[in-house]
Amino acid sequence: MNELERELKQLIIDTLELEDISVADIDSHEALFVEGLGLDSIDALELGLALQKRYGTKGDAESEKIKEHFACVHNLALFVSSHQNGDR
Amino acid sequence: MTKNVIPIEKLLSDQREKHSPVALRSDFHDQHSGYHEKCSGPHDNAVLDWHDWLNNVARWRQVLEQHDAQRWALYHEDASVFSAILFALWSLGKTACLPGNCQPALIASLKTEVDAFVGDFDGLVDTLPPPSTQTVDAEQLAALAHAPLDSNKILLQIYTSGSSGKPQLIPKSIGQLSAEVGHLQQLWGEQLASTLVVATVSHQHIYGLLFRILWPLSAGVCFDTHTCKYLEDIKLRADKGWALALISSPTHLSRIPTAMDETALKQLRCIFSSGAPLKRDDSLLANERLGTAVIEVYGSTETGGIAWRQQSPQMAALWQAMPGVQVRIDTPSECLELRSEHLADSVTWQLTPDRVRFDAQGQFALLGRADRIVKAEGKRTSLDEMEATLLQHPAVDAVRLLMLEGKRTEIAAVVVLSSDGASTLASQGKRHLNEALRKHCLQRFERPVLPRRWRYVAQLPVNSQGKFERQALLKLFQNPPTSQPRLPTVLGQESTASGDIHLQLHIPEDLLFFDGHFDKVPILPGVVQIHWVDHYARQSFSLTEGFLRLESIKFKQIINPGQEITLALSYDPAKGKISFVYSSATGEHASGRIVLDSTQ
Repeated sequence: MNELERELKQLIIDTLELEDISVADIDSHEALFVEGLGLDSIDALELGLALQKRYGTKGDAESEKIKEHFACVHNLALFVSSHQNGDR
Repeated sequence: MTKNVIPIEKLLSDQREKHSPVALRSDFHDQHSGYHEKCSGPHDNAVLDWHDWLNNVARWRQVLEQHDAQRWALYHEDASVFSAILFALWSLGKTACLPGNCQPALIASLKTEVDAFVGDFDGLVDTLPPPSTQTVDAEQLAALAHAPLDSNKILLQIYTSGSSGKPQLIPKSIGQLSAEVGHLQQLWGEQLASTLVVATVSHQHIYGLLFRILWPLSAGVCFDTHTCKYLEDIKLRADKGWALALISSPTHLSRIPTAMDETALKQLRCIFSSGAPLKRDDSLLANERLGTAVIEVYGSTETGGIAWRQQSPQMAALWQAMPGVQVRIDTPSECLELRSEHLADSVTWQLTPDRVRFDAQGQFALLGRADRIVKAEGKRTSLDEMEATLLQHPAVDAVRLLMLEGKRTEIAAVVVLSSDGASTLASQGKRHLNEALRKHCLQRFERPVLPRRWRYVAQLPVNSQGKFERQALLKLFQNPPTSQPRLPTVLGQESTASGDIHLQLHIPEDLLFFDGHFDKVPILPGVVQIHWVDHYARQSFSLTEGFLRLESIKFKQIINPGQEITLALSYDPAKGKISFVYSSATGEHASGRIVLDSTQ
C-alpha cells in the first residue's frame, strides 16, 4: 500500500471519528462521498480542514476540481503530494 | 372500606385505628428497620402498623428539629423509612428534595442545591444519623399531631430530566399532592382497598411516590417496603396471603416472565403502569398473562397525573382526563394543553410538549413528544420520526435515537436487532449493517442527519420507570470501541504433555498498537507483548492472582506487522510464575517471567 494513501486513510478515520472501519477496509479507488464510504457534506468540511492543517493544502480551488480531488483516497494522495512537491 | 381515608395534609393529626397496617417488611434480612414482630396482617408478622409508623415519624422529627437546614435531600430505598422521614420533614415545614437515583454524579450535583442530606445515600455524602429506636413519649406524639402540614408551601422538589436533557427541580405543595391522591382514590379506591401495594418502580419519582406511598397512606392501605426487581418477586408477598395491587411500568409489563406463580396471579387485584405508554399489544398480553387489565396513567413530574386508559381486546383505548383535569389541543402546535388541580396554578392553561389527536368524545391519542425535534448540524429532525422509519426495516426490532454533542451534533442509534438483523450482522459484519440502515433512513432524511454511530444491544437500557435513561444510552457511546484489533489472531493453540500452552499467533497489520510505534517502521511494543502473555496465561491457566513484577525479560528480535509468531507459556503454581517465549522461524524474539502476587 502506498504510504501516503495509508496515512490519508488513517487521517480520514481519525478526523471524522469513523467507527467500525479500519484502514484495510478502505479501497484507494473507492468513492469517499455519498457512495462507497458514504461521507457527507459535513465530513467534507472536516476533512478539508484536516488536510489544510496537516499538509498545508489550499481549499480555494474551483469546486469541480475539489470534487475530483476528494473523489477517492488515490486522488486525494495525488492532490496532497502535488502540494508537497509544489512547496519544495 | 373508604371510611379510613384521610387527606394527606391531615394524616398526622386525624385519628386512625392504631393497629391498621401501614407497611409490610419485605427485606427479611435487614435487622435494622425498626419493626416489631406481631400478628397484625393476614398470616404475617412483619407488619408496621399505624402506631409504629407515627412513632417513626416522631423520632425522625425529633432529630431533624435540631437542625436549621431547610432543604433536605432525601433518598432511602425502604419506603417505610422514606415515608417517615418525608412526613417528619413536612411536619417541621422543611422541604424534601428527591433525587431520582443515587448515582454519584447526580448526588454530587445536589450538594450545591440542598442544605443537608437525610436517608441512605450509599455513603456518597454525610447524612443525618438515624434516631434511636427508643419509645417516643406521649408528648412528642401529641406535638406531631398538632403540627399542621402546610398545604400551600413548596415542601417537595423532585429532580427530573428536563427537556434539555439536564436535571431540573420540580416544586410541589402538599395541596397539589393531596388533590391528586384524592382523584386516584375517587377513580380506583375500591380496587386498592385491602390490598398490599407492591411495586417495581421507585418511590423517588412522582409516580412511585403517589402510588406506592402517599395514596396508600391516605387510603389506609398497606404498602410493601421494598421495590420488586423482578415480577416473580411478588410471589413472596402473595405467599403471605395478601391481595395485591401492582405499581409497575412498561419496563416490567412488556417483559412478563413465562412462569408466573399461579397463587400470586390469583391474588392480583389491580395493575397500574406509568412512565411511558404501554404498547397496546403488551397491555393485552399482560392482561392475558396476569389475569388483570392494566390501568395506564399518563402524566409527568411537572404536571402530575393527566389522564388514564385501559386497553380492551375489542378496541384500542384512548386517554381520558383524570378528575380535576381539563384537556384541549393547542393549535397550531397540536400539543396538549391542560388545566389541573394537580398544579399550583389550576386556572391557567399549560402547554405540554406532547402532540395529541382528539376524538369527538374528548379522549385523545398521544403522538409523541414534540420536543424530540432536534437539530442535527442545524437540520431539524424528529427523532420519533426517524425511529419510526428504522422500525420499518426488517433488521430492526426496537430502536432509540439520541443526540451526541461531540465534534459534530449527530444522531446515534441504539438498536435491538430482529433475528434477520442478527444474522446479517453475523454474516456481513457491523459496517455493512450500519450502511444498510443508513441507506434505509436516507429515504426520508438527509445524509448529514443520518445516525453515524450504531450500537446493537440485546435490550434498550431503561430505568425501572420505563424511561430511557440518557445516561445509560450515552454510556454506550463513551470510549468508542476502536475497530482496530488489540489482540493477535490466534491461529492455533495446543497444550504440551507438561501442561505448557503453545499459541500460534498472527500479528495483524492494523493492530492498534502499531499506531505511532513507529510511523515509518511499525514494531510490536514490548509492553504489548507482556500484556498478551498476561492475557493468554490468565485465560489458559485460570489465574486469579495479581501481577507482582517481571523477571529476566529479554527482547532479542523485533516483531513486525503480519508476522507469524509462536507464544509458549508455562505456569509454575508453586513459585507463582509464568514463563514465556515468543519465537518464530528466525529464532527467539522475546522471553521472560511474570511473577504473580500470591497475597491477592
